[in-house]
Amino acid sequence: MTAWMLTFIVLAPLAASIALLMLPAARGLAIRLVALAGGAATLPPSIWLALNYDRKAGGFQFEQTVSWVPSLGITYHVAVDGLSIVMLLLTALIITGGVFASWTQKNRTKEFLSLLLLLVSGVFGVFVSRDLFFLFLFYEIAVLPMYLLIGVWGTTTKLRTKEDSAMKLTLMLMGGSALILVAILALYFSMDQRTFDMGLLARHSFSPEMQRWVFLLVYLGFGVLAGIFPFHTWSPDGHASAPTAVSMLHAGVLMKLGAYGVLRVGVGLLPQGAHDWSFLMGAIATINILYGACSAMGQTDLKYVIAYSSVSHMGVVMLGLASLNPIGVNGSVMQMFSHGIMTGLFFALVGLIYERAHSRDITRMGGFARKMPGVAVLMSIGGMASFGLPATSGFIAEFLCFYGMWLRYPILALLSVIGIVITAVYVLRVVQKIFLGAPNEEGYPDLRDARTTEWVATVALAALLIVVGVFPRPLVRLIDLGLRQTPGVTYARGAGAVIPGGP
Amino acid sequence: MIDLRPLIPHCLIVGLGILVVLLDALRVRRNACCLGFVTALGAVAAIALDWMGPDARLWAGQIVADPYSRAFDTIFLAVLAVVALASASDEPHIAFAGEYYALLCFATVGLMFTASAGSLLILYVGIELSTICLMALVGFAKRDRRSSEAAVKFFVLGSVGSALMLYGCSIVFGLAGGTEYGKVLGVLSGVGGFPIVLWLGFACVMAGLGFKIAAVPFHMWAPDVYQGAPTTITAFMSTASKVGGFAALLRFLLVALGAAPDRWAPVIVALSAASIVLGNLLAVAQTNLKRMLAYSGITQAGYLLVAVAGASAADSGLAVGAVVMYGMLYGFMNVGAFLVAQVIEDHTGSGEITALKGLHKRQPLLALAMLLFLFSLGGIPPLAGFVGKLYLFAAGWEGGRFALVGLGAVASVVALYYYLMVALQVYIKDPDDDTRIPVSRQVSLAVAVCVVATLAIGVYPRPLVRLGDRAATALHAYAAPRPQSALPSAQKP
Repeated sequence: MTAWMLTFIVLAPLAASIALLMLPAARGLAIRLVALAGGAATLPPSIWLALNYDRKAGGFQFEQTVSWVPSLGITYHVAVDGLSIVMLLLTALIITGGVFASWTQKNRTKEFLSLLLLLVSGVFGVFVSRDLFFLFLFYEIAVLPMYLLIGVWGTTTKLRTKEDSAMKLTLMLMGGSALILVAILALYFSMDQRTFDMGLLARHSFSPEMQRWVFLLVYLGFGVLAGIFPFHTWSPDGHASAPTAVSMLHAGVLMKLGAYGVLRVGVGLLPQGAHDWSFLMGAIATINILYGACSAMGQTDLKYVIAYSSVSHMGVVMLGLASLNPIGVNGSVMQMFSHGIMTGLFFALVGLIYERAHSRDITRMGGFARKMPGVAVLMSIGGMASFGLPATSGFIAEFLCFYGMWLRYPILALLSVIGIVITAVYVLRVVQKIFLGAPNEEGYPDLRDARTTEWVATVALAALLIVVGVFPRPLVRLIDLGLRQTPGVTYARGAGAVIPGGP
Repeated sequence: MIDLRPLIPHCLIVGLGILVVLLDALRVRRNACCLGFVTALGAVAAIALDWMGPDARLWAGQIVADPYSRAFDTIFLAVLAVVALASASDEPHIAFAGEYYALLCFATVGLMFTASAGSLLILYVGIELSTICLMALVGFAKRDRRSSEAAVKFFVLGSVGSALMLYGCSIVFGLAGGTEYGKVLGVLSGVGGFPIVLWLGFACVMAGLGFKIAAVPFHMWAPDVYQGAPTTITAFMSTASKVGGFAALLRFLLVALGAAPDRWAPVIVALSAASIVLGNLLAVAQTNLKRMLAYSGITQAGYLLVAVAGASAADSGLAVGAVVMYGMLYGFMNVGAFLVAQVIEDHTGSGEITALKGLHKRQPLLALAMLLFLFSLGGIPPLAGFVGKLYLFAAGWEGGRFALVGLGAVASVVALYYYLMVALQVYIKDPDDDTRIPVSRQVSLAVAVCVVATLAIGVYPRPLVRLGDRAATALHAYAAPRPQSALPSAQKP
């Protein structure tokens, strides 16, 4: 029974996705309920996994192995450690929120939700896979539906049509996955036995020369999805064009797949390679943080602001990762979780505002707080988490990331901390422009606060930001248990004294 | 007494061809579409009979029946069955329906001999049999000028190709004193080198096979012929006929020239790289769906050649299996895509990609099927094309063709662009007119078969991998004992 838990999490959205295709398009409520069931069904098992994970034993648990193509060494092998469980929780939360956020979606609802669930099924698959073949398979399942989701249901922005955004996003991400494919083949053929099993691959020590080049491929390949500079350009266009639920999922969860891939496949299998390139990773992450924040400051389209802030925040994730010490990497995973929740909240709120104001131009907004006080409060909470105010999850995460980097490359840490200041500037500016000041009555007659189903997702997400911020211990503990098993996450030069218990 | 049991399926298909002509002549059909069903059933029966037959080498190894040939026979027959099924709905409207199916059957028999060929002679006969039948089929829509034009082009270029091939065969014959692959192999080990005359022979044979698989620079005919031919015939040509070329190519290279892989491998690498690059670049520019699929087919041939190039390594474990597997799944997904193209063309009268506009409203299920075929062709999991392409690249990598695999991986992204441009029309754009596009039951069934196969192979490739493994084992057993060559063979890095 417990062995099937992970498979259930992967298959539940998939089953709902297929079931949706069979429902008649006219049954609007039934379609939404099935989609909600498919999405929310993953939440209890994820929580159950988090509670029942044997913290003493650590390592990978809830394992299930099914031989798939033995002659090629392909095995359906799923298992989770603390790190994966955190990502599962995040995904389950965001998809449930995403279904709520698309409750009022009207155009081709059935196909929309079906694709959304298919995508999520892929995301879950990546987080639980221990076999590189399946990891890659799920990775692409997670990426490709985006083309249709943005192409069909997106909105054309001033800069770019939705079709172009969708194509750009898909091709850039697929370019990344071409690199990953080559990297996987390189790993596969340097083993004595034919296997894609990451457990076995991790035990093999690849030659330093090979690690160096393969890690670069893995980093660039997955990095495209994590939005690393200069391959981040798909992200603002894509997120700005995408419908609310898709932006939520994409910025909230999918970009994390990139960072997760670098951590699992790159750092986990090629520790030496990771250390060789850690300065490059750190430097690119710093550029991401600063460049993303500066770009966000210059935007007037609300969705572009959030999209660029995602680029900046993913920079923090990659910065923590680049430190390659437990503090930084812990922070990095925390930041994945925190940013996932935060950006999910942001995009849900932006969706609400856009639906009522019919505009996303922040220069033409003002005084919205009087009409939608609830939304204003939630937006402010998200904003505070965004620039890492203490008592929000953002604080813990960003602090750990910067501290971890400080231990490795202090100069990069110093530079990237400036990003927080810029973030504070643009977040406060956005909140001020939209919600405060003189109301702009004539243009926005439909403005009103959130309603029933819209509250559910947003309040839950905002509450989580604070709960995790105040009481991060269980989460950090889970992540840390996972990282202990990850080769490549080691103690930085001279940092051994700072962290007790280091080797 | 020679055991002729391995030839029963061949005889069955020939008999089937004659039977449908007779049924047609006796006017049994009367709008019942029965000829297509009979052909499809016969093809399926032949697959079963083929696998029941014993392994054998007939006439001193001229014809070889082994799991390798059977694996490819299965591909040809499966494509024949699907294409015959899909043609059934048009049966009442076309004159000479019996001849149409008969020619398809004979073309298939030719391909089956190609896969079994153990000598250049049989290879040539098999290739010619299939090509000549296809020439007639390409021009089958006699009133359509495009069809006739395509037939003439195919005929002229095809004749040049086969003339070259025959010339190559005769050179090899003169050199080896026989056309059996074993004799050619003997020359190689006897002379202890790769004589310049053999180069000439090899180049000519390669030209003939290159024409068959439509690899650059022997691809010129493909777009025009694919566009002009009746779409079901295009579907057959782009899959069964192409794969037939590969079946012959692999056996020829690995058996006859198996002792000197480092000599022919660079040629294959060059063909592969040229096909991948040129096919892709030209496909991007196409506005006609069938032409686009033709150029994409050239690229796909390039991908298959990646594995063939990988087969040159001493221990090429994956290459043969990869080609068998990809041949099979390519058959289903590409035939599927062409069938959808046909439905659209029949209804709208336009072969342009824009004719697919808003298909999701006009025929939702067909749109979904098309989407699956396109994504599968683009190599997106969990569809068959993904596993297949991964397998091909793995085979190439195993053989040390790293740069080629890299090129292929990057090219897949470019390829995705033009497949997605079709998906854009199918799924994202809204139609100009909302009328439903009717799909006949026969075509639906054929498309459904393709969809199921595309999905099933993608999700659970194990049976097909095993089929490929068996074929590979058989081919290697046939090639062995490989005489120790004086030539340094390509080392796996």
